[in-house]
This record gives sequence, structure tokens and C-alpha cells, in this order.
Amino acid sequence: MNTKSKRLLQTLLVFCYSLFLQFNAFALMDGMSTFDVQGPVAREQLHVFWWTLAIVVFLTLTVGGVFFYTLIRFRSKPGEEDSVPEQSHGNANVEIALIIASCILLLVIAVPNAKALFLMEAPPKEEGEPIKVVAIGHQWWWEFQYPDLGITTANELHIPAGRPVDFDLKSADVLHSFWVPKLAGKMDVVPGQINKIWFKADKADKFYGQCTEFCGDSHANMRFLVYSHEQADFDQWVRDQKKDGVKPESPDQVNGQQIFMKGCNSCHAVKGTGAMGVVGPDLTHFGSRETLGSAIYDNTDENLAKWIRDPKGMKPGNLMNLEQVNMVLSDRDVNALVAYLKSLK
Amino acid sequence: MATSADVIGVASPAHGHSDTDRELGVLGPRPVAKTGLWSWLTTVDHKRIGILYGLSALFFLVVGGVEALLVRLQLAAPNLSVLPADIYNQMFTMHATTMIFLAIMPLSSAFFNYLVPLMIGARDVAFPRLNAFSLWVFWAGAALLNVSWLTGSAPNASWVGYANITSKQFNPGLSADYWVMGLLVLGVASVAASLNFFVTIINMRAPGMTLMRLPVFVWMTFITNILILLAFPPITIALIQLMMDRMFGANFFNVAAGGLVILWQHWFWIFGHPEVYILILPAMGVVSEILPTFSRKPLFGYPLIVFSGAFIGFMGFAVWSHHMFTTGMGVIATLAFSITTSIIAVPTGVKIFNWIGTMWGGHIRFATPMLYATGFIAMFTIGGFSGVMHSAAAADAQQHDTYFVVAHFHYVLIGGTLMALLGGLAYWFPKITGRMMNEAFGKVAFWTIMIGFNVTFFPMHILGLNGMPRRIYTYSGDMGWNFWNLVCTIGAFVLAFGLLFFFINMAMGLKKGAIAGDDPWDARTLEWSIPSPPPEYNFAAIPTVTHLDDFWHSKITGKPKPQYDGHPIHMPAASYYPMVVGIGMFVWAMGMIYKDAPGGFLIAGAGMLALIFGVYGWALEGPGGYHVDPSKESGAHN
Repeated sequence: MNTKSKRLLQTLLVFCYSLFLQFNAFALMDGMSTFDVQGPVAREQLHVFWWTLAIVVFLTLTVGGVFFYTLIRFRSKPGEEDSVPEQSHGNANVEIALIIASCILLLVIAVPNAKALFLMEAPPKEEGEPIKVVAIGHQWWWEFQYPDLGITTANELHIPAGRPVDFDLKSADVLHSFWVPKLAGKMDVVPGQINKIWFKADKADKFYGQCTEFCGDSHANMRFLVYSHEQADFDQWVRDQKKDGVKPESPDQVNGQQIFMKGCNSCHAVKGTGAMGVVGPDLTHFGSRETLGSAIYDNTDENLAKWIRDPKGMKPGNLMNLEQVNMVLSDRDVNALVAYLKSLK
Repeated sequence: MATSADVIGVASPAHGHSDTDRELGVLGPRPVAKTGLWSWLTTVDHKRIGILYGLSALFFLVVGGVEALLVRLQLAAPNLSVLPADIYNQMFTMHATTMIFLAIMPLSSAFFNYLVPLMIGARDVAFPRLNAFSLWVFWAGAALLNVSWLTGSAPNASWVGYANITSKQFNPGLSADYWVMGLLVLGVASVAASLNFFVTIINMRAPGMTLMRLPVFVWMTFITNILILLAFPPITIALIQLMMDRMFGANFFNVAAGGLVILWQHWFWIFGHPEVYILILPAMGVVSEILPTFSRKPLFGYPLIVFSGAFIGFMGFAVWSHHMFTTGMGVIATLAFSITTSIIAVPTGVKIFNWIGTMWGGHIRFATPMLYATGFIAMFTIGGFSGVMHSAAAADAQQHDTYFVVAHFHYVLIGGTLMALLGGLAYWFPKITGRMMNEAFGKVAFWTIMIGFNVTFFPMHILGLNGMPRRIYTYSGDMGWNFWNLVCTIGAFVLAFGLLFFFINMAMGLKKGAIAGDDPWDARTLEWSIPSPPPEYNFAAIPTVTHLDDFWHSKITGKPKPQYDGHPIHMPAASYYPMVVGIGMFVWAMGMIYKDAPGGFLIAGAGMLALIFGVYGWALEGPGGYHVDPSKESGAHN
């Protein structure tokens, strides 16, 4: 190879490599990665995955090797076009040996699989004292209740790191599925049935979750976030969440609350006020959330204003419907609502 | 019954003659045209019905393919708006429904129809008019599903239609009604056809064609049709329950009234998993025919391949809940289904070993059909391996409903089934048309399909393990999914071009391909012993079978060809009634969908009347038939 083509090849390789890096193609450690495990359940599931992958790679090499060897070795050679090879019909010993071998390989998968399934069933005692959360799937957002703490929040789940979280999964309407890949495999959320799942986060971090059972127009937009905190930080969060909604102070906020009480309150709750709707997300501490619309937008004033003006445009099929509660909002009204909602820290 | 030469004596020599003494048909005499549109619409010839199934399947393969390309365009990059969310949901639902029920199943059915009688030495299927009925009802169902596009409410709840997203409350339009009625009607077609092939294979075999001398394709057809016969009743029950819920206010899946949404999933998958084998077993049969021919060796381990196929079919009913590992069945049920699922790997592995064993020691010719057959083995094996990975329920909790699963079943359905069926088209094209397809262009098409397919679907494994859920119309740009989604979309267009090349090659072959002759591949089974294309009566003289691969055996040993005995051959007469019944069923189903619109019930009633009229007309016209004398037919030999 001459230097010119060598250099060309080098440039090409560097270009491809940087392209892959650009798109983070081979990292596989992104927000929803099943490889970047951060808790015991996902770790055990990944362990089973590696076993199955090892066996499959072994089989690919052996079966694939024999396959390609056969294709090359026994291809018809010139002069053989009309000759007939030996008409052999089979070999019982080979068959039996291969059947036994494949059964043994399946057993190798079955053992770690069974072990992991039992682990997934319930948190073992040595994992620590579990905290109870009820996760409720709605079209298309998530409600999180902490029955022992008296807290209700939406779309952003806060948990203590190092403690198992024991979930009851319920649906308010259709099938959904609850999935935080870095912490555990998914579990379906089935109307009329309470499903159980548990996971534990090793340390304080932020995780992505998403609905994985088709649930209608905005299935793709039914995302959520999980924040794991050190115990002290979690306790502080709990104390904050237990408080009533902040009283409005500025004239804008006061005006916003009045508008809120003329319709928004039919569906949304703000603790400590007359707003006690349960159809939409609880907004008592909305201002403290980082995201909007089941974790699809950053919770900025601009996005919130857009959301209030055009809920369906921001999220297809959105069930938030201002006409249903006879709300016609001027730009001033929207700004007042934004001011009020963002003040609900 | 007129069977004698007297009747033949007064018949027109080319076209035979109707049994006029048996005719009571209310629509007048039975159709006798042998050419032109009406001869095709009223045909009961299994070969013509096979061709019509095949052309319909290829048409819907294009329709489903275009739907797939639109889906891929929407997903080419994050946050695109090629398709709005609700249209996207209709698109992926119809893509799957079309590919499974309107492309792959009828394409297999085309092979059943065309080949089974030829391979077992029969002159037609057991019930020729029932065969035409299946075709017409299939068209009715296909039309129902696709007419929905014109009304703007195509099915939109995915091909599995999980309750309760299909309920009136959560799906108020007509989308789910079109889906329910379309699938119900298609089920009727499938069950009627499966009975027909079951009886044909049991009863119509040539003398000496014992079960263990059946070509493997016929065996796989037999098992497939038993699966259809057993698997379609559960889905039919489920669909009728859903129809009752939607149209008549029943509460089978209404949680608020004590219904059970999970019931749907059990119903669906006790159908749906055998359905997977309904899609793959015929492909395995095709490959088991192609490999021996192009290796010039008998199939390695014939009985094991047959029994493995039967075992796979049987186990297909014992694994349905592996589609439900994440529904909260509890650890014991999950583990049990995990183990039964992995057991299926054994008979599947046996087949792969035996296919390789067939080639081992052979003289392999890489003609286009053989490329597809070997491509099938490689791609299906990859799909099988990812299936083994899913069978470990603990790992599947991460993979379920992600693109990893999408990759898996496309490897099995495209890399497996479609690859084999394209190989089958290339293999039997000379028999069906009498002409050869171009080899060089055929190989270009094969490699384009192979590369396009892998570029499209291999990256989906990566996407799935990196957390991309399926059935999402958009995704965020910061999840690391952008690059591979773009690659998938590019691959999909390459794959589409490959299929386009294949179709062009077919059209060119039909027009000006080299004349094939009876046996262009030096093949082994009975269909190659007769002219290409076969005469309408298939065999002038029914062969007496003495060996597996009897035609090959007779070529080697110089066994004399069977001689025509001079008796005219009785052929089934064409009929209008299967068409009448099919159209009646379509009208009835449309009426049911629009039963709440003014006149809806009237339309349903009219359709039902047409249906009843068709069935009675069918019964009253009698079996009919006419006689053909092969010695007077042009182009017939022996």
C-alpha cells in the first residue's frame, strides 16, 4: 500500500471514528442504557444477559464456523456439475450428541435466570428497610404516592439511595409499563390489578424512566425521572413535600392563584388551597420540578406558558382541556398563572 | 354421474364440458371461460388460486413496506414530524397487521395452494370451491382493513390490540372496529383453508405416497394448518368478545364493570405464539426443499426434521406467556414459561444442524434460490439466538417491548420467513411460469436485500439494549439513539430497493426469461416431473410413489414414467358462489362497523342475505365438473 492510500485510509478511519463518537454510537451507557446498571436488580438481570450472550456468541462461532466451512468446502467444483455425491440420509449418533449438548447449554442459562427471578420477586432482608411507593400510570403521566409519608407527586420520583423501594403499580386508565433501565427491568401497569416491583439505587444520582407499553397517542411522551438522594437529603425533601403550597406573594402570583381556582382546580390539586382535583398531576410543589409534561420539557417559564396556551400542541392527545372548564386566557392571565405555578416551590 | 367418454364425445375438445344434468345453479350455468378476467374470478384451480394469493401477498408486501418506510422516516432523527403521533400509531399498527395477515400468511398460502397437490401427486385440493371461498374471504378481510385508511381511522392500537386501549372509552372512533371485523373475516378464510389442506394431505396423496415419503414442505404445510385450525378459535373468541364490548356494550375487558384486561393477552398469545410458527414453519419447509436440490443430496435426518417441526408446533401452544413475562404473573409461572420457551431451541437447533448436514458432503450450486436458503439459515439462526436470550425471563425484563425485540422478530420474519419465501419464489418461478428468472440480476437483488436487511435490523439490537422502547413515535435527542436510528432508516431504503430488484426480475423473467423445461434445477420432488407450467389437471397419469424423493429416484434408476391410461380426467367446474359469499361477507362486516350510522344495520342485513344466497347457491349447484382428455390437449406430454 502506498503512502497516499495509507493516508486516505487513516483519514477515513479517523473520520468514521469521530462520527461514531459524535453520535455516541458505541458507548451504550446513555440515559436509558441497560448496561450502565446502578442497582442490584438491574445488575442481576445484566448478569443473566451476559450468560445468554456468552452462550449465543459461543454457538454463533461454532455453528457459524461449521456453516461457512460447509459452504466453502462443499461448493460444487468445476467438473462436478453433473456428478452425484453420496446420498447419505443422516447420522443418529451426531444428532443425539447435538441434542444433549444443546440441552446442557440451556441449563446453563436456566440457573442464573431462576436465581434472578427470585431476587426480582421481593427485596431480600439484607438490602435494607424498604420504602413504599405507589406508582400510578395515567394517559400520559405518572403519579407517585408515598402512603407512609403522606406525599403525592408526579413525573419526578425521589427515593433514598441505598434503600430498596417497594412499588405497587396501578393504572388509572389503560395498560402502561414502568421502566427505569438502570435500576430494574420493566413491570406492566395493569388496570384492575396491583403489580409489584422493587429496585434500589446504589448511590445518589438521576435516572431516566419511560412507559414501555403502548398506551395511545402520547405513549412516546410518557417519561419520568428518578432522583436518588442520600438519606439526609431525602428526609429534607420529604419535609419540604409535606408542606402546603406556598402562599402567593406578588400581585401576579395572587392573580394567578385566582385564575387557577376558576378551572385548573377541577383537575389539579394544590395542598392547603381549595384545589383538590385528582385527574391531573398534583401541583403543590410544581415549582420545584425540573421538568414539565411528564419529563419531556424543561420547566421554564416559556415552556410552561406554551403548555398552558396549547396543551395538545405540546403533547399530542393531551387530556388537559381548558375549554372543558370554560377557561379563556389572555396573555396576562397566562403570565400570572406561570408566575403562580413557578412560585409553588 | 357422467364419467364416460360419451360426455367427452360431445364436449368441445379443448375445454371439456359441464355436467349439465347436475346444474341447479340459481345464477344460471356455471362459468366455463378458460381465459380472461371472469375465468380468474371464478376459478377453482388450485394453481390459479395460488397465483392470486401470491400476487395479493406481493401487493400487500409493497403496501406494508411503504408503511414501514414511513415509520422509518419518522424515526430517522429525534423529534421529527413526518407523521403526527396518531397517524404514526395507525402506520405501525397497519404495518404489522398487513405484513403478518396480508403479506406473509397469504404468501405461504400461495405456496400451499400451488405446490401441495403437485407434490403429493394430486389433481387439485380436496375442496376446490372452498379453496376459492378462502381466497375471496381473504380479499374481503384485506379490503376491510385497508378501506379504513380512506375513512381516516385505520387501526391504531398495535397488531396485538391489547385491551383496554381498544375499548370504546379509550378508542372512540372506528379504528378498532375495522381491526376487529377485518381480523374476524380473515380468520374465517384461514380456518377454511386449513381444513382444506388438512383433508387434502390426508386423503389426496398418490398411491405409495406414505406420510414418511411426503416432501418436507408438505409436512410443514400439514403442521402449519393444524396450528391454524387450533390457534384461530381463541383469537376469534377474543375478537368476538371485543366486538361485543365495543358494539353492544358488553364488559369482557371493562375493568370498571369487573372485566379483566389481562384475559385479552392470554387469548391473544395462545393464538399469537402458534401464529409465529404458522409464519415460520412453511419457510422451513421451503428451505428443506431447496437445500437438497442444490446440494444434490437427500435431506439429512428427514424424520428428525419432520418430528422437530411437529414438536415445534406442539410446543407453540405451551409458551404463550413468554410474551407476558412483565405482566406480573408471579415467579413460578414466569420460570415455567421461561423453561418451556428455551426447550423450543432444541428442535429448532436440530433443524439447523440437519440443514447444514444436508449440505455437508454435497456438491453445492449457489443458484439464486440456494443463496436465499443459505441466507435463511444464517439470518434465522441469529433471530433464534436472540430468541434464546429473551427466553431468560430475568434478562427479558430489560429487553421486552424495546427495539431488541423488534430486531429479534424481524430477523425471524424477514431474515427467516421472507428470505425463504423469496427463495421459494425464485425456485418455483420456472415451474409456475415456464420461464427462468435472470440469475445475475437475481444475485444482485439477493445481496441488496441481505445487506439492506442487516443494516436496518442489526442496529436495532443495540438501540434496544440502549433502552429505546418500541411503538414510540418520537424520541429525545440526548438518549444516544440518533446515530443508529439514522442507519436503520438508510438500511430500510436499501432493503426496499432489493425487493424492487426482485420484483423487476420477476416481471422480466415472465416476459422474456429463458424457457425453463420441466426440471430446470435437477430437482427431487414430483412437481418437477410434469410440464412447466403444469396443465390444469396436473398429472396426466397419477404416479405411483415408491421412495422419498421419488422423482429423483426415478431419474437415477430409470424407473419408467407413468403412462396416461386413456380415461378422460374429471375436473372440478368453476363457480360464481365463492365470490358471492366473499362479497356478502365484506358488505356484512362494513354494515356492522357502521351499525350506528343510518342504514348501517340494513347494509349488514343485505350483506348477510348475499352471504346466505351464496351458500345456498353453492349447495344447490352441486359439485359439477367436466372431463379433459390429456391426449387431445396441446402441450401435454406422456
